[in-house]
Amino acid sequence: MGAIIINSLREKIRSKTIYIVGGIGVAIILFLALNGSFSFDDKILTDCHELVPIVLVMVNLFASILAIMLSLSTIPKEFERKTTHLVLVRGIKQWQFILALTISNIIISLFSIGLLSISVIIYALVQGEIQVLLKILGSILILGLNISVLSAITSWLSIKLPETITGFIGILIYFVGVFHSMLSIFVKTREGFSRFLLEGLMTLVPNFAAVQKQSGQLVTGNYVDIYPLVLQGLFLYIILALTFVTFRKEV
Amino acid sequence: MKKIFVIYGLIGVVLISSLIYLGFQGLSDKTEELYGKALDLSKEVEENLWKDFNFGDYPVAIRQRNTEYVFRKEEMRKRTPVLPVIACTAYPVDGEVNVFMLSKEELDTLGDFAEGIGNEEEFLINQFGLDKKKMIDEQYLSIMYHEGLHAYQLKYYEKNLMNIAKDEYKEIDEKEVLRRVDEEAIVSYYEKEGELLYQAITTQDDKESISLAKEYVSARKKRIQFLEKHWKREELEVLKEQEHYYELVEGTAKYMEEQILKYLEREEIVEKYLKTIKELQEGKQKYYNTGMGICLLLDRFNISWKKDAFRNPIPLNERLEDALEGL
Repeated sequence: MGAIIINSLREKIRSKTIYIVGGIGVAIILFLALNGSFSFDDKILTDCHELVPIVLVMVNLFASILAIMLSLSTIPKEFERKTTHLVLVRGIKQWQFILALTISNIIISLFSIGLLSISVIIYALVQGEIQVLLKILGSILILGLNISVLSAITSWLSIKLPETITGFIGILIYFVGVFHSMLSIFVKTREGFSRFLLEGLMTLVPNFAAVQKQSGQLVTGNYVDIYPLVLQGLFLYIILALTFVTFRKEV
Repeated sequence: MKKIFVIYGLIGVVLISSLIYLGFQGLSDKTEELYGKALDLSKEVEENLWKDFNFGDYPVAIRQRNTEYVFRKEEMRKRTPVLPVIACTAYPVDGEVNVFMLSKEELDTLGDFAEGIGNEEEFLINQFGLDKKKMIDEQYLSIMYHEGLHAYQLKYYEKNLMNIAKDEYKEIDEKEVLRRVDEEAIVSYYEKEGELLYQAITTQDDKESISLAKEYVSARKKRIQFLEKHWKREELEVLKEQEHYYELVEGTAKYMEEQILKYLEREEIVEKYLKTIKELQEGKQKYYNTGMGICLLLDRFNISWKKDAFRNPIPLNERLEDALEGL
């Protein structure tokens, strides 16, 4: 299984997509962070400690798009190329193969958020705020949890669904997850069957907002609630477990 | 192979146990301590700030995640949340008015979210907990008292107050009605009122305060006269009703917040509260501020105003006008 992960990672690292999209992302984020004007509570934000969370919002957005892009085609491509035949005749089970590919997707997605984080680090260094770097690192690690979940969900969906549909659902899940807290409040204003249905759907979508919030809390020195992080960990655990039992027909 | 499943299973056990442990951790010591402080203050508040209002008379349900910790003086019991939404408010439960609060940590995390989202940008930033200014303990106490006063209003004067709010839910689409008048003119009316009210409160000179307060009352009437020319009668009625209701119900509650902060000697925050009076805000929020401002003036010109505030719920501005008569 280790060999499959390493091979899949090698292939992805050789691909230019991650560097092109990542590089453009870093450039855009840095441009916006250094030249943009952000206001909150009618005040223009100038303090680095206040702006870092905004830069993190942008890193998270780009990293999530990259995670979906990098994860949606790995599994279908391996099946299309018939690599599965070569792997499965060596006694490796299909679930192990899929799990290995999913793990490689997660690792590469984490690599991409690491790459994009260069922008926050450069930004903090330009602002002369070296002491905030450690907090940024912790914050990125927390965001990594969201990225891992998004990558795992996209990988799992790609086992059965065509790439376009997987990508679309991945993006939809990302946005619903990011606005989870707000949407949950909206759902609670509904009544009857529609509320029951919507509540059910919301339970199926990971709460990216709660995890993001903790990442911001860490960077701004506020109270970090562990509960949503563990809950997200459990979400990842369940999605990975689903890859054990979801199979794809070989062509 | 079996080993992998065993390890995977163990990870699952660890995750679920951690969730259960965290879920049962209960309310933080900090929040419990703050409830204790609020309770300790209740007698002094009743004696010095608002006779008949005793915070300790009301059960306080503090929500942390999916559990409510209901405090009744020294007693505490858990229950599943009663309200479908997270909110700081007062509401009757089984015939008894409860004060609903969030734990200090949740309120710190939610920030403005509990009171609604200002705009898209604020929401996006709020997602990342940008507002690093943690709520100080005294602010949390003052919010407890804000909701506590609502509990008092509901318990004793619900009928009186509900009679005012015949059209409570018929909010005016401000932007739409403003479009029909000279928006700049109406804004300048409101701004002038805010400035006069603020000056009347902050001046140390009583004579000047009386004169500014009278100017304020008259400026307010002029605005209504101006609106009479441009708005439909029913729209003006809804506006007057809203001013009356929110200034009386929410203005007094915000006044209570301000008084608690003053009592706890957080002058720097009190100053910020007062400045909100001259900052024109959209929607009903502005009535919280003007209501608080009028209460502060009433403290100066009619010290017994609280006795009748809800028993005879005339609009606060009319009460002020009466108090200024003959001065």
